[in-house]
Amino acid sequence: MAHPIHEAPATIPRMTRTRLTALLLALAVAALVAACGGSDSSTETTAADTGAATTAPAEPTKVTFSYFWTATEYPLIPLVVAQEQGMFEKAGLDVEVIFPPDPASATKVLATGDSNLGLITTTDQVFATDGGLPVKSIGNYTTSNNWGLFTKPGDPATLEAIKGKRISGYGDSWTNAMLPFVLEEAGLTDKDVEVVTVDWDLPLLLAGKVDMSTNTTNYLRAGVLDETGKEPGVLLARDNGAPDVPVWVYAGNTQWMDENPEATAAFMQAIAEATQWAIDNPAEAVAAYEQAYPDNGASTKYNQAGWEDLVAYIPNADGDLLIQTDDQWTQLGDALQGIGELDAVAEPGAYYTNEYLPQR
Amino acid sequence: MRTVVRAIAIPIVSIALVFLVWDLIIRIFDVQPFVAPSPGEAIAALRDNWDVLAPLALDTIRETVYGFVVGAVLGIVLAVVMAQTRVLQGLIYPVLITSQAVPVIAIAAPLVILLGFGILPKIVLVAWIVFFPVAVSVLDGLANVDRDLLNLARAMGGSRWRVFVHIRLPAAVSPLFTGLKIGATYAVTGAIIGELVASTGQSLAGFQRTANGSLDTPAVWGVTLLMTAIGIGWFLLVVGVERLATPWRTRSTRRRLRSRA
Repeated sequence: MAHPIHEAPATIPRMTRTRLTALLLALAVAALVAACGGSDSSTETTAADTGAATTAPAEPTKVTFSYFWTATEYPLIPLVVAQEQGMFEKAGLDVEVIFPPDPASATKVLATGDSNLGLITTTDQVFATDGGLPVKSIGNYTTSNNWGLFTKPGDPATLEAIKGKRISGYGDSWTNAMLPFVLEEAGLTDKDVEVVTVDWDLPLLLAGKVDMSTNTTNYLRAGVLDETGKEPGVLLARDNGAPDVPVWVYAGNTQWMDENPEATAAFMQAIAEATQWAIDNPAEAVAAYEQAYPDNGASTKYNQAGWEDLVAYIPNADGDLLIQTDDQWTQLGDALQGIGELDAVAEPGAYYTNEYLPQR
Repeated sequence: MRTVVRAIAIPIVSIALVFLVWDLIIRIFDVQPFVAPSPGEAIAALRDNWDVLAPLALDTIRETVYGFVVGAVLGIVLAVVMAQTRVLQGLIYPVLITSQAVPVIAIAAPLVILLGFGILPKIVLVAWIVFFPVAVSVLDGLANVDRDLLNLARAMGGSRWRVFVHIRLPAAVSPLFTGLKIGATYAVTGAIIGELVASTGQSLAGFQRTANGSLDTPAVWGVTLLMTAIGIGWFLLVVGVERLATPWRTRSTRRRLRSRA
């Protein structure tokens, strides 16, 4: 026999339904008033007993943070540490991490206000500024360029070895901007190599279907180590003609940041603390990440190798975190203009601000 | 003449309505251009990049056509083989179903490792998508021939081969085109997936990905329009061939002479 309540919506007359709704609303209001009253009285009692200030603790500011990839990865470690170790809570923030539908949408999610702050690539920021999107970089994630060319274990990764090789790339702007520098350093042009666009480079590299793969060290080196237990050949672009500019930055929706400057600064303060802790305690940081995202889909070996690699590129030469420079943005803008993907390079201040970073 | 005009005009009006609704959605909901452009912006981006896109589109068409032909032939052959005995059908049919349950994207990367970065993996992917609707449709046609007609042919001494050629095969022509039309609309998707997974040099899908990475949303949608146009164009071509091959299906009804009673 069906429960009467299940039949009610179809059979209760409109008048009765209205009364029922009114009754439910009245009950809800009464419950709310009672709850508030109870809370007030308890606060008053506590305040009276302790002699402390009578203001209730402020509600934490909700922050929606978007990641640059469609799923969880270990670069989220600073976020996880700040979350798990209570740094966000101490800063009065309630941070929720969201993931874009595709990597290119990471900036769009920020621009539409679906997220308030996020991680994006520096090229994304340049294109966002160029397109007039309300997004601005507020701190470096990495401070150095860890992009390069990789070979499978045992194969040489040198400038001399590039000629005539099949090189895989993702067809992304970063690869398009950086590869010409390395080729020029080797005295080559794109006619001297075969560049293939792929969706996933690691199996192709290990299967010998491509001779070299372009990627960042933290992803490809970790992948090769995880699969083979051996070190791949690495030809770092920054040591071979390419500008030493960061790959990822923290960025925010400018309108949200204008309306919430304290929350933005508090976020960056918490991130700075969490990043430093994660650098100092890499194994514990990876463990915290895997506990927060047990279904992250990668092995502990991969996460550890990736994070330990990434850590080397997070502080700048002076050991400082997050600090951006005019030079990094000008160099990147020039590189993108050089390959015809950018008409004009804007003033560095159009791309970034350091005003939300902790005071040194 | 009026029928021909109507046959062309109505689909054009239909497509125009789609563009109109698209444009209205952009205007009414004030959608930002970096999220989704208006049809005009997408078409303008397509026009602006036409020099680059035209040769890439030809590559995609080539992949689509080759893969479609391979898939169609494979589908017909499989259907004919399966129609011979129930045992063969029982053996092959589950494999066919399984092949379509496998996400194409999952087999795309291994295909590239096996077959390289050229046109071959794209052809295989298109064929993979096309052969199934063709095989199932043709098999249906071969299996559902009028029993009385078959009995009559046999009673008149028709051999198995002659019955197949003169009765079963013609009965499968209409279902064949149904399968081909379904395959034609999906074929371009296979080519695009193949291009996305791996390509030597630039491709239509690669251009779209780069434009997406550069936040050039109008170009992304412009390429999408081009891909859609390839799919529609190929479908219309199959419809044209169908009209020529099966005139009895599309013969227009003559206007009846009304008696002046």
